Amino acid sequence: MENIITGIQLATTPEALIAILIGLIAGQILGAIPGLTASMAVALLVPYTFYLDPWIGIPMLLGMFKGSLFGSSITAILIKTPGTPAAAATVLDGYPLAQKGKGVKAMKMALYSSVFGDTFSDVMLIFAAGFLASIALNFGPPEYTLLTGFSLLCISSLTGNSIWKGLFSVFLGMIIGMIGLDPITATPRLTFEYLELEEGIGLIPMLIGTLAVSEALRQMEQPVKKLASSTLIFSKQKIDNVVTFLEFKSTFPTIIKSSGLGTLIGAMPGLGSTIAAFLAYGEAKRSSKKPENFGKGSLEGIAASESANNAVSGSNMIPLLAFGIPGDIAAALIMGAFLIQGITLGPVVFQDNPVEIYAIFAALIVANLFNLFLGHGLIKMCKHVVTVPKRLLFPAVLVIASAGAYALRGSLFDIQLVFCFGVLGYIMMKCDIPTVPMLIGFILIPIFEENLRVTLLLGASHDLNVAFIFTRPAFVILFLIMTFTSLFILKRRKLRKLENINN
Amino acid sequence: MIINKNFHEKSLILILLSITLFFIFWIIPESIEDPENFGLQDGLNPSFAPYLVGFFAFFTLVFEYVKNHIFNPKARFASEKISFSKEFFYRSIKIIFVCLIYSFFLIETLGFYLASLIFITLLSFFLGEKRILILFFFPILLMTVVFVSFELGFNIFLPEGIILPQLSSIF
Repeated sequence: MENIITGIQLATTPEALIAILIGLIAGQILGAIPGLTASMAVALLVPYTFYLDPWIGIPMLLGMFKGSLFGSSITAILIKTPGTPAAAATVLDGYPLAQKGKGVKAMKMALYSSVFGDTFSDVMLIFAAGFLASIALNFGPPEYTLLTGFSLLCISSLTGNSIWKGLFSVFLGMIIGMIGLDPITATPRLTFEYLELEEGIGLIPMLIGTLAVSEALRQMEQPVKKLASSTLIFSKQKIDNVVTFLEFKSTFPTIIKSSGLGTLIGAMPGLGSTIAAFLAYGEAKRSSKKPENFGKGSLEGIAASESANNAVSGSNMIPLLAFGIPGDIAAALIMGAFLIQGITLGPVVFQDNPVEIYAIFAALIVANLFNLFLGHGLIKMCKHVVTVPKRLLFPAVLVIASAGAYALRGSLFDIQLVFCFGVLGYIMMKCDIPTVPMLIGFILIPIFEENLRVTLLLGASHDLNVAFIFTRPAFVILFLIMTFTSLFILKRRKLRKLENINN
Repeated sequence: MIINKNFHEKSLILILLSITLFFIFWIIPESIEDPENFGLQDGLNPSFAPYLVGFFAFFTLVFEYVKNHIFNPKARFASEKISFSKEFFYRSIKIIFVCLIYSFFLIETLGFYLASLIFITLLSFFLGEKRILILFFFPILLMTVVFVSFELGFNIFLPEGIILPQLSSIF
């Protein structure tokens, strides 16, 4: 109890509250700028958190992430450009509504459902993460090998259009993660005697390059005309600019159902907010009294996709806090920020840093409340923000990305890495190879390799050889759970394929 | 230019397969020196994990190729086409070239601020910004914001470059 109170106090100091506010404002604005995704915005901020006090930097980052998630739905609604793939489902109804002059109404609906979905999943995170972490404390190297291996498999098979591309992306990330000194023998690996590579590839340059620079390169290849600003008309009638109580009441069951679905999906590594948004959208359409309105500007459609994709943001921290495994790229970025501050997330964090964990929980809830109030301000501002010309925006993004990468280690090599990874990410995008599995593979390889090698070492000294892993109850239970989950995923993939063929 | 998606996928797999084989048979042996008499009882060789990942990548690609391009060559993407724009391609090549010059050469020689001023002006102009005032003031404004937030706010000193310190020492 004492830890909880101290945690809440830590997250509600004036400095932390101001940090959350600044993070939210910056996140909402950056998220609302076409082409700047939520992950990209957070990736740009992560290096700076190193220079801030942990309890200013981390709440700012959490605020920024939540703000940019809502901000990214604004571009989806107003200019049919989802800030993140997760907001793609919001386009389906948000954009038609905006074209009718009801852009403000659509954005307000998105704001209310986003905040509700976010809060719902944060509450679930608070209750589930500690419980799962207490189970994870019984895990040894074999269980961790299985868990990380399974997460890599899930992420690779569920991101992108084909399994082999996801797998190849994971393998590529794992190989990049092996550059540097071997963790056991300290022998240089894949460095070609290049001293700067012996330190290993930095997470931050890789994240900034793959997320921000590659996206900027992709956007800049567009014809000159497309890089100019866009315009949209907003209705002046009051009814078109508010969400009435009746409208909210009629969508509330959809919001609750979609938040639950999003939370469940977010807790599984690799599934992510895009799948949650589309599943919730499909389910809302299936169970709606007016399914014919979907795709033509239905508030229910916006509520479903927004509450589900935001619900993922809290619950995808469950595997991160409980097992130290980031469920998606957003969690990976937050993990990076914690690592910068010297805090390694995982089951022991509940024992070693309980105050910090409760402070995170408190910061998440506070950020949701602030998001609701600030969101209204953003909606008024967004008419101007969405018109920033891309031809000025993206060169600026590249310069800020370079400065951010340099800031962390003071190394020119990191700036060069940012652009190399930017080009790599761009080529991968062009080949339709997802980049997220590569980043997760890069992050998870040290845990996976270390535990795999220890497991094999333990097996070598055991009578049953490697088969000893099946004598461990925790391993067997985990193995069964993962087998059933894999079957479920395969079945869902098959269904999706059939649906695509039918369509 | 229109490309058949089947052909595109097939070529991609073959290119990646060549890279994977190059990684397994040249990069790993050339860049990792395993300690002598080091084996399973000591915690496995440093090259164990790279080989493991390399072979997994190899088998994934071979499996995909055999399954979809040898046993079932016409079923997937048979009618799908990919449009490839030469204009986009040349444009992106130019942008990437400018970015690489900026990161590998300009920052090191001219310093971060001067290099970035030139970079933003050139790139914005290339992307279609023709207003002279914007081209002049926008980079200066951005650099001022970067300077204030980095050097004054966080005490982070961005690279000075080689030329400017030498010039200042001369004068």
